[in-house]
Amino acid sequence: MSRGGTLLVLAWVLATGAAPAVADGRATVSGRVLDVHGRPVAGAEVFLYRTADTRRSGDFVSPRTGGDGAYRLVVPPGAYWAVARVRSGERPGPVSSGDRHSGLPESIEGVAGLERTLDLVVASLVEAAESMRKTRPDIVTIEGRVVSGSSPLAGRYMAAAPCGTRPAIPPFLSAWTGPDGRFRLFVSKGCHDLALATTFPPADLRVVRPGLEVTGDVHALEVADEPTR
Amino acid sequence: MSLADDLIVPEGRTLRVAAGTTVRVSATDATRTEPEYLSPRVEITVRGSLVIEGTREAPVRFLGTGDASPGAWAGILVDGGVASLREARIEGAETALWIGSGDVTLEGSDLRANRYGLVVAGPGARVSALQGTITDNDYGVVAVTSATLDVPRATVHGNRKADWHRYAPPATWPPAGPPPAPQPPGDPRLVGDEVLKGEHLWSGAVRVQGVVRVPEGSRLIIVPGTVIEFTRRDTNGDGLGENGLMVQGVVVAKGTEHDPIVFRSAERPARPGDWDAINLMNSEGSANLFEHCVFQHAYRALHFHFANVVVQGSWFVDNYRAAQFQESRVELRGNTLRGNRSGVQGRDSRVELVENVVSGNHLGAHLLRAAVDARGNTFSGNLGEGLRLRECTLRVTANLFDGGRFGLTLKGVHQGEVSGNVLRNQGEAGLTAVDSDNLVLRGNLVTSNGVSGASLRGSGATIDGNVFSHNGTRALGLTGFSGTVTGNGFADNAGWAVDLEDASDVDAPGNWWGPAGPAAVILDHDDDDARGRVRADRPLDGPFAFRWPLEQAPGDTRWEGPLWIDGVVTVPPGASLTLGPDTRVAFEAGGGLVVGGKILSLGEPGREVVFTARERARPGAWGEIRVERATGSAFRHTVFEHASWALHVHFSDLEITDCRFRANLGGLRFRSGPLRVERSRFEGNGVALRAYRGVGEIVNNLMIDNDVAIFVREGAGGLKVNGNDLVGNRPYGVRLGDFNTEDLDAVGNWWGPGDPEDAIFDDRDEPGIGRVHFQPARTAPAGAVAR
Repeated sequence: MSRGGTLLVLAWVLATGAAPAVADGRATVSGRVLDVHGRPVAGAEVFLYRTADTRRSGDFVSPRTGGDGAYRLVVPPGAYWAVARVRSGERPGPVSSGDRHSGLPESIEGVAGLERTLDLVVASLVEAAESMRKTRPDIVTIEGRVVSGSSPLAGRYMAAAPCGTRPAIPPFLSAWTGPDGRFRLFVSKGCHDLALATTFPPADLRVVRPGLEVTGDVHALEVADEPTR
Repeated sequence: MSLADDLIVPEGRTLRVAAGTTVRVSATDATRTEPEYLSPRVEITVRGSLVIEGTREAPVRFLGTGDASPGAWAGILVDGGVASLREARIEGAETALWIGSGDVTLEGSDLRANRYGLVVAGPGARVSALQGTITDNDYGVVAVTSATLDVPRATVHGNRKADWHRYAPPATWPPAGPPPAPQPPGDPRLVGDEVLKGEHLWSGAVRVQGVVRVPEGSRLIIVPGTVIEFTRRDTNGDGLGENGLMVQGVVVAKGTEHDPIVFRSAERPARPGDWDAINLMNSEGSANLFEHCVFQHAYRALHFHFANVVVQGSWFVDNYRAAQFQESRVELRGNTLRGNRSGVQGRDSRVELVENVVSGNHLGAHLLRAAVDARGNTFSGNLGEGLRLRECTLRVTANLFDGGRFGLTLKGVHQGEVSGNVLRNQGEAGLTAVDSDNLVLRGNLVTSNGVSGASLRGSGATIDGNVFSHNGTRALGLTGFSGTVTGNGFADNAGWAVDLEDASDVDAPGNWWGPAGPAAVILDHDDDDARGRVRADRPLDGPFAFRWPLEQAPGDTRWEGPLWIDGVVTVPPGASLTLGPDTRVAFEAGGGLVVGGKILSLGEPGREVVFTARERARPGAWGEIRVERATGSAFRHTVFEHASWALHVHFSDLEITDCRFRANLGGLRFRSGPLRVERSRFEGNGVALRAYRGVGEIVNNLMIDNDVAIFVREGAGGLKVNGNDLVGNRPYGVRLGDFNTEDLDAVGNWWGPGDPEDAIFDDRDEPGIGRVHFQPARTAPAGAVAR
């Protein structure tokens, strides 16, 4: 199997095996379609192509998968390239932006009388981006807004320091908030005191969330502050 | 001789090539990625002087190796130097001769069998040719109109797609202002080859005379207002400075808008490459912050591997390259990257590009194998591509691509969404996709591109809800395409709507093809047996309402046909929005326009421009068109209906003629001016016209069936209200406000059959608020506007 220089680990053979299958000289390709968390995906179609050009109708197409994500295709022996697609509609052709896709085609050899196994992982555009973290495994993000009531506040930044410590300049700092009040803070997992400031170096650091236990990404955290006079 | 690697003729050096020399250039892709090179293929780049001294008997030849197919090597790229080519033969290149800037003389030279013969991309370039030929290329000469070309037409012939293609990029948007340039605050602290272990804080002025290292576990904090200047040290004589920062810990450079942090050359005069870079390696924990920084004169201003980097509100100007990275998480937000050889080069990273301006660079941004989220950016006036994404997953939304040679280029993409962008005024193509799949191209405006609006080769896509207009050779070119083309607008292109270049068929149902119908504008099997068919079933019978996708109408924008707007769209200072005849703009609730630049709403009789509500046709269904200091604006033959205040004008010299204001809570409201309102009809509004310290002439209009036709809050002395028909307004034709103390010139109007005083509220009703002088009044309708 050749992956070439793929962008994302969206599709891979989780288990490749060969087992006796049909005895009529045809090959069998089977497996499961999984999501990025390894869970089976229902409603997926697996397309087998005789060339690596998968921008066309598949030479062989599986029925849509059920709740176990399983598919099975019986095909003439030979080399194939496989792609899984999950579409929200019935329309053939390229998937749409909310749909899921297994990325670059995976090659597999169909051998007469044998059943080959190929699992495919599908992801949406958002999931594909999320899978490319590019930060250390112990680093997570805290995202949210600084607001006064429901109004976002610009000109702030968030800071985090390990619980109970009070460094003059905390180790984790966000960028300045803009008109939308949004911030993103990269922190290590663990207990942090979250603080807010309007000057740098921080002369007005105010702890707004003491003892926040961070075990994974935090989204939509609202931090209240008063407008600058 | 063989050339297997890139070759640069640096500034101050001359390369002479003797008669009879044959140079065979290797056909390799993805050679060096250093900023001084301009192409992924092998190139000969001239920044000094190139003199080719061939003779007719013994010419100098440049050839690609291997099968020598066009595009096998980059070509000779003149980037600020001088090139004299006598009896040269250049073949097999992407571009035989590319000129960004500089002077080139061709004498008896042949540019043959390349993709492009001669490309003159820079406005100040000069080329003269004597004899010789430019032939058998895909394109002969491609050049910006502002370049100086003395190339006889007879020398350019027999090129496959076009012999000549000239294009005129618009003024680069946004207008270029200088970056902040603070003086160093006091005598600088001198820093040499040092290691900053632990936590260090820089402030004031810093002069870096070596390579400063920030080791793992350490942090360098730079406070607002710090000016860091790098001296030039070039120990290997390659013309590039070597001083900079090497960071394996963390950098926090947190400037502010008013107190930016500056990284620049200490040399005078300064030039790109005086210093090396801020290098970050293995810094993928806490975010490295660069906020409100100015980076100038670097080789690679920011260069990082395996790092977590946020750059916000910063300037990158006059560097070889603004940012280069790999295996990183990158957020670039609200930055300006201008006048660099390349803006961004990155790979194998997760990248957010948000609201940046990437303009006037040789190359805009180039990302490889990245997860890319690009939204709200402006890519303008770059000599080559604005944004090039190769083997990426991508979401490219609400960006402006304006005035380069190629706007957005996708190659080897296996999933992506390109939606709500404006791709316009590119010299060649707005959007190009090659060997890509699962693309969604939706809701984009693709307009006024020189050759192709969009060109898809070997790609699969859903193309829907886009508007293609005013493109040159073709709106949409398809080769090896899979997918559907539906619900798009293809009217008003100069050439073909769809150019199907291969034998496969394409489904294109439900599009608007213009009044001539699809057969007239599709180039397919009906025109050429070798082509497939475009199945243009169930064509739309008119244009569809297109949602304006940007928060601004930037640069010179023209609106046509039906549009709708959700939210408020801004015409910023320096920009100009023109609305042509028959344009209909429908606003969602609360929607509107804020014009700080200029607006020209140029309807024609029977072909009015209409501003209206998208839903619920009632007064107050949408907001207002607010015009602020928008001198030179005009509204002609324009209808305003169902607004809160249709037109709200401050401090603008404005002409309103032959317009209609109907069924608005308020029609026209203004302060200052001067305004001229003429031959317009105000009907069924709450207040038709409201003036506050206004200067203007309101003449020859019809104001009928409004609650109040004219309300003057203060400053009636600046107004002339003459020759109007003011009838059926209940309770008042004219009402002066409680704070007004000046009289109003309102002679020569028709007030209806009753006593004019009954339609006037002035000091006769409330002493001290000024008087309306209405005599002599007309005794019959003026009739300037038909009832």
